[in-house]
Amino acid sequence: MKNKICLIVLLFFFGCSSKFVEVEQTRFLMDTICQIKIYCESKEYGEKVLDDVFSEIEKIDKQFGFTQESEIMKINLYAGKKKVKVSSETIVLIDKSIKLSELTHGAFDITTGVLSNLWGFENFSKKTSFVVPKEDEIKKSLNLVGYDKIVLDKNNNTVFLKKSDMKINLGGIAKGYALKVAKDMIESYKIKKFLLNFGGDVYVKNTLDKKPWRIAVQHPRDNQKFLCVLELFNGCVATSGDYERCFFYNGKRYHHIFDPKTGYPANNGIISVTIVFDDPVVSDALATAMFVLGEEKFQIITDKFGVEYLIAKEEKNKIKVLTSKNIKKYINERYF
Amino acid sequence: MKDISKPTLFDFVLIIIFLSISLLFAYFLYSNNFVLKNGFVEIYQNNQLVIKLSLDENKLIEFKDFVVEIKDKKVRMKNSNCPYKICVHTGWILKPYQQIVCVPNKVVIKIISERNKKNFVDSITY
Repeated sequence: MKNKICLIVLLFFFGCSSKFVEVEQTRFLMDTICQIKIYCESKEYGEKVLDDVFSEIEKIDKQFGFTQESEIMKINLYAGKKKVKVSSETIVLIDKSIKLSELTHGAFDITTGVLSNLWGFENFSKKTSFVVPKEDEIKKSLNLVGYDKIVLDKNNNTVFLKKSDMKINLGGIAKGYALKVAKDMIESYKIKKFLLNFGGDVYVKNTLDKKPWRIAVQHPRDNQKFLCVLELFNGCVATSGDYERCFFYNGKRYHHIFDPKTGYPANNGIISVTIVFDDPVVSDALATAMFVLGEEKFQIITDKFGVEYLIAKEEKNKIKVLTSKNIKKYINERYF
Repeated sequence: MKDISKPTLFDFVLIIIFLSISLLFAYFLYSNNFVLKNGFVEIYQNNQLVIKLSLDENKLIEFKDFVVEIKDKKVRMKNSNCPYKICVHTGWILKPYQQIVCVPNKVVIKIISERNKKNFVDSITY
C-alpha cells in the first residue's frame, strides 16, 4: 500500500513538471528589444500566442511611434493648425499621460517631444552623431513644452496641440502600455506563467519551479556589473537611467530624460531609478518622473503611489544607492 | 610527554590557511565575476537562431552586417555597420545572463545557461 502511495505521489510530481514547455521570442519594436517568455502546454500553441501578441505590439508601435502612419506623428504635424481625430486607445493614453503630469508636478510630460527632437533622441538607434543644441534654441523650444497646451476632446476623440511646432512623444509611457497589453493578451490565452522584458521594463507572473523570478538591476556605470538582483513572483520592475540612450559631447554625458523646466537632460545627481510596482503603464512614467524630480522631491511620488524604489546617485565619481524600506524584501543579491 | 589538548601556533596557522582557502573558494563561487565553464553562445537575427557556438573555441565569425569574436570564453561584437555602434561599445560578455543587442541589425548575442545554476538571472532591468 505504502509503495503504491509513493508511486502515485511520484507520478503526480513528474507529471506536473513535464506538463509545460518554455517558448521564447524576441522582436525589435518601439526602437528597442522586446522579449517574451511563456510556459504553456505545447510549443506550437506558445508560438501562435507569441505571434498574436507581437502583432498587437507592432500595431501599438505603428500607432504611437515615429513612423509616418503613426497617430502621434499626425497630431504633431497639425500642431497649432487643427484637431486630429485619433483612436480611443490614443485618447486613453494621452489622457493618462496628462493625469500623470499633474500628479508628478509636471516632471513627467509628453510635450518634451520637441526637446527629444531638438537633441536628436528620436529614432535614437538610427542616429550616427549628436550635438548639443544652442542655448537660445533650447529656450525657444521651452515655449512649446507644457501638458496644459494639449486639448483633448474625449467625446469626439480628437487631440489638438495649441502651438505650432509642438511635439508629443509617448516614449516615456508607450513601453509600459505595450507591456500591459501584452500581459492582458497572454492572460486571455489562459497562460499563467510568463516574463516580459520590453527595453528593460520587466513584467513577471508566476514561475514554473516555484522559485521567484530573478531580475538583475544593471549597474549604471559598468555594464559588466549589477547593482543587485531582485526576486519576485508577480509585478513590474521598471528602470529609467542616463546610460542607455545617451551621447558624449566634449567629455560630458547627455541623456534622453529631459527636465521640462530647463530643456536640458535632468542633472540632479540621480543616474538611475528602478521601481517595483503593479501597474506597468504607471511604472515606466513614474520612474522617469522620479529621475527628473531628484532626491529632494521624488518622495512626492513615493508618498502618493507607494512605489518601492532603488535609486543610484553619482557623487564625485562614486555611486550612492538610496532604497525604500520595503524594497529590501525583494533584494536577493546586492553589490552596493 | 607533550600536552596535545592545547592548540599550538602551527594549529592556528593551519586554521587560517583552511579559512583563507574556503573564503577564496566562496569568493570565486559567488562573485559577480563568475565565468561560465563549457558555455555556449547563441546568435539570433530577426528572432531566428543563426548559429550556436561553444565559448571554448576562439573564433572570428563574419556576417554580412557584423563581426562576432569569441576569445578566452568571452564574446563581443567586434564590428558592425550600425550607425552609433552601441553593440560594439557593449564590449565583452562572459556571464550566463548577459546579452549584446544591436537594434538596427536586429541581432541578439546571448550566453545561455540553465535556470538552476548559481548566479543565474532571468532578466535584466536597465
